[in-house]
Amino acid sequence: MLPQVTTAHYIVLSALLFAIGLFGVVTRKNVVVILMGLELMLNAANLAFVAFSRHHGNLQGQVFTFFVIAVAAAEAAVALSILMALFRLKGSVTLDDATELKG
Amino acid sequence: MDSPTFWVGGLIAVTAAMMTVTRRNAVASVMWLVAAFVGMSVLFLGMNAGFIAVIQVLVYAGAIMVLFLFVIMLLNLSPAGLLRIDRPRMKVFALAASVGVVAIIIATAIRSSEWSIGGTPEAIAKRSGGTIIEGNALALSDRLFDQHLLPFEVTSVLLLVAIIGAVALTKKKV
Repeated sequence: MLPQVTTAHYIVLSALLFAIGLFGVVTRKNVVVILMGLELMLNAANLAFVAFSRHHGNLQGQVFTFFVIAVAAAEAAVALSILMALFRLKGSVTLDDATELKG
Repeated sequence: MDSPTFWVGGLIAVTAAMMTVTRRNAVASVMWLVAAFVGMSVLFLGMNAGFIAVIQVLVYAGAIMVLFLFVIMLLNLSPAGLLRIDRPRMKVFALAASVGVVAIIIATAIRSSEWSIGGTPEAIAKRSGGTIIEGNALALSDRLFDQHLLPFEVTSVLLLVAIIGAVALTKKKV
């Protein structure tokens, strides 16, 4: 029989997903994949919100998750538009080609 | 009982997330990320958050991931452009940071008896007087349109700003 699932299980899983997203954001150079890592990190935070909502028997955390999803949608739309503008300017979407501020 | 949904959903989510950040082809990454979001949706279902689980699939796996696919298609990247170019020096730092985050959370989770002993379904049910909260559309809309009406309306303004911003940024210069 599987061990009983507690809030601690959900929080550790959420930390694991956040760490995987962080790893992707830091190591990858393709901006599209970096944005995907960001979405993964936002989702890990959502998981923690819902886990604590369950822990405290309070719907507040799920309402907050709803807002996080809405903000993530807006963020993805604007970030991908900036990516399109970058591609038009530089002809690529790798971070190495966007180093204008680096003296 | 949320034990099977946790192990199944968690396994899908973690495996797919690892595949997402390691694939060479960005389209493959998108597909694995969709799988990760479906896994998380299963986790939300196990926590009695049905509405969030449906929104997760609709908004994330549906809308946002289609947007990613469209952008990859519009960019018309050559196969060389899709190739993975890693930063070897950053890999060590990234691995250290990731392991650090997980280690801190695991240490906290082990020390906290409130999360482990007080986090079992029975303990939660006892604390909330036997009633299990159900995150369905009715309960969430009660909260949303009663206590959180202003943030809800502000979110609509934010989405409008995002739409106008996206159009202004991608439009060709006239």
